[in-house]
Amino acid sequence: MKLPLKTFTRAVLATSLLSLALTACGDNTATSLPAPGISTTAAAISTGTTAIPPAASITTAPGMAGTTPAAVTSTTALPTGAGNGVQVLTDLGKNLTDTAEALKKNDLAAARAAYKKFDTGWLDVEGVVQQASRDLYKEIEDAMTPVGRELLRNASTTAATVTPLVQTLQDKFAGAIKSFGSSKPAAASAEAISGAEVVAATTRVDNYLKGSLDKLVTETAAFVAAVKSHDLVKAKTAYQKARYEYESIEFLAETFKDSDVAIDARPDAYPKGENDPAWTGFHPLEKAIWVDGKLDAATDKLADKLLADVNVLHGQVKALKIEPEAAIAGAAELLEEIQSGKITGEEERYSHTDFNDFKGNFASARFVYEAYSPFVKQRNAALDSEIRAAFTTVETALVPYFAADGTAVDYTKLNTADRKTLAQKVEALADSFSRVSGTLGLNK
Amino acid sequence: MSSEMTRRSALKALGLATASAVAGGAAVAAGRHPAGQLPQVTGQTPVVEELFPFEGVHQAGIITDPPEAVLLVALEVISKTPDSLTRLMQTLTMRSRELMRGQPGPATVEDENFPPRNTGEMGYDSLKDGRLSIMIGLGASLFTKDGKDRFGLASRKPIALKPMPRDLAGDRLNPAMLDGDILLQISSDHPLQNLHAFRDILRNTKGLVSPVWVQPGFQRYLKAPSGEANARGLLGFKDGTSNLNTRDDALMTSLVWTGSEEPGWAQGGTYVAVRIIREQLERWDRLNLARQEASIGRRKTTGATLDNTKETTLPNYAADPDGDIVPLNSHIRKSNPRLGEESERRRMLRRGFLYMNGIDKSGLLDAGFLFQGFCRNLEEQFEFVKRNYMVNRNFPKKGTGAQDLDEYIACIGGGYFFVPAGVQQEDRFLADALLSG
Repeated sequence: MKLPLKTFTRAVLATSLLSLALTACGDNTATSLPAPGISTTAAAISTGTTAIPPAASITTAPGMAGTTPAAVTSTTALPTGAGNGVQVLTDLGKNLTDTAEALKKNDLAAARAAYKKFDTGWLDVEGVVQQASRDLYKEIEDAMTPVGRELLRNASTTAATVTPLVQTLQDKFAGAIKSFGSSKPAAASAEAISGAEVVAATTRVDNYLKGSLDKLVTETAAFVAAVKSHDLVKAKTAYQKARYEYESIEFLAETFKDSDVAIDARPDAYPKGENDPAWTGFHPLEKAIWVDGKLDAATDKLADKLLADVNVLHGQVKALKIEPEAAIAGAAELLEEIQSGKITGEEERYSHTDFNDFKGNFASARFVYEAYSPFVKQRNAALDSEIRAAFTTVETALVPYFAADGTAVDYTKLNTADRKTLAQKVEALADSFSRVSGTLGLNK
Repeated sequence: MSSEMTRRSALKALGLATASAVAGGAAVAAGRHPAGQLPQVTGQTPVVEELFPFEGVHQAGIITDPPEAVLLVALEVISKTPDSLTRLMQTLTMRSRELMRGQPGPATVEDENFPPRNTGEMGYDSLKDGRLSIMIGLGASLFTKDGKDRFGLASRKPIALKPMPRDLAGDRLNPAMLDGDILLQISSDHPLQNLHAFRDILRNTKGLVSPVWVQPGFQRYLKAPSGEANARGLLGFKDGTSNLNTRDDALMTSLVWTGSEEPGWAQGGTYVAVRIIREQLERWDRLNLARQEASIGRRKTTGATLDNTKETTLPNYAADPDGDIVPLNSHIRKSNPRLGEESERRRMLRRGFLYMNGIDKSGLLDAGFLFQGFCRNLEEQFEFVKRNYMVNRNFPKKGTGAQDLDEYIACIGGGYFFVPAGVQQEDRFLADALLSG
């Protein structure tokens, strides 16, 4: 956990993992977000109104991105059974035609009645039109104003006055129908990847992550043993090994807030800070080892609790079943962890072994990407090359920061120029990576 | 009459000075502010002749329309005696009065044998516009610092004034950008005008104060249909949609202006929570649009809440108890849960700006939001909302978590201040009732 009490509610992870974890741990704390990551159908997130899939075409005017989250379509106030948005607008426009016809016959009363229907009907669709094109919306509203003023609120108006105003409105409105009608259908957003090979890839990722999880327990046990033997040197090495594993599965750990806080909290999360007895986990031990240089009965207790908490986490995470969207979102999150730590200053503030953490984040993210890379390549070879190159660049950049025995160089030794160079390389990787979930159709 | 008196009479004749004394310092230009329109949603370009008078029931810079540039300044009072504090307040009052009248420098001609009193960057003609306001606030440390009653004022401290807490979850406070004895909120249509005012004040208060931290900010009013917010933050979302209506005097009295709960001198003032909020823009920009919208709780383009199509329609949380449409941990729902009276009485007047300080050591943008929340009582409003709604992981339901937005933002500085009531007469000065009492 990086930020104290950081909420980890990535729609993808929170819903897809938690919804599966519910049965495992009986902890119904899912925060459900609409759309992505829910492996159930749209019905699970519908609001009770009739889902209106065809409306997707109306919300995609030229220039707008493809997918529309289901939440929009289910709350758009288009009449149900509408068929498609263009039809709704066309039907509404008929009232304008009726108005014009009545004016030709000099029948102001009929014109008023017909226009009132248009005016009322417009209230239902204006939000959608506005969302698709604010300019068009404004044009129509501007054209409606004089018509309303004359036809509905000026008892002494004449057909001659109103006719040209209605004509202008009709033209604008016809323009609206045309632009919706001709808009490209929602870019056939990529279908979610599926099939036996995808399942195989996901299983590999699942095994890898669960493997890291098992190693976390082993390495934590070794760390705890070193701490309890009151051997500072051994404890320092063992700390890094355990932390590496934790950082490898961090995005999974964060799903379980209580465990994450118990194991990875910084003192900022507690009212008494470093002196708060509620502060447990890796970091009070980190401080004891690197700053206080003291291992004693108090640290023995902390160590025992750490191992107990890690074992609890192990049970919780083991029960999760990783899905592709969760894996990809998790990998993206791991890359952000590398950046975030630098900005928020949430480094390993006592041991300065941040490079060790980054290595764990990075290795995990890379493994996940490698598993799904063939599918990215199929759909966008250029993106795949870009990402693979970026991973290599970052990996190469990290090499100098590790000693021969694998321990990390002190993070404070990183000079400003090098820090910046590294950050920019990670930026490039994270940016390219941010297009993966969309490419693989995992945002549905 | 001196040129000063002429100008003042001229302003009075235009109805500006008098009207604003009643309206609490709001600039009134005919036709510009139809009744009921929110300042941030004006969407109209300012009328040319615009000055805010310094005098008023309330200080300018609170309910007066925010312009496009601000300079927040925290000062430390370095002189030690109560007399010097009085002199400081008198000087601040005098300079603010003149600067806000549009005077870029002294009324008399400069003497070439002396350093010029006007720094010159705003020219030498008196200004007829600019909407400059200089708001002055007091920090807790002015009353008591390290347990010492510095100026004999400790017993008259406003009841809710204290240093900004250091334990709000998610904050990453930089001690160099925190608190202060005095806050200046200098705002106008242009950063140069703010800087000019700041320099003028500094030069006139040498030896009395020293700057502690300084943060410039900006915003830009874009075209928007009437009734809609017309400013956006760096995250790309509209800012100010549900802000309090500054034209509603009863609302301001109940939520912003202090009353009889305070010592006499402190009534008719307000508290402000200033928060400098760093935003991780690179990270935010990598989020899918849907994720950004879920984090905020509104559509990015139109500003409508996720359960509506129009920006001005209020959300209906009762119809969405599990946050399926407007997520429970979205910003708007966490900060304003709309629980009826219980949460309505906690709302505050916001006057936010944006900032951009350059890049940090990693080459990432050092930019974000300057939050100012004006409330009648900091603990009941700003702090209550923060602790009980926003960072409370079990609000509104168990397991909701802190607001999702906290992943991308963090408060790095600011402070709590008390803003005394306005100065209403020529011969009075700011907080004179506190100092003479």
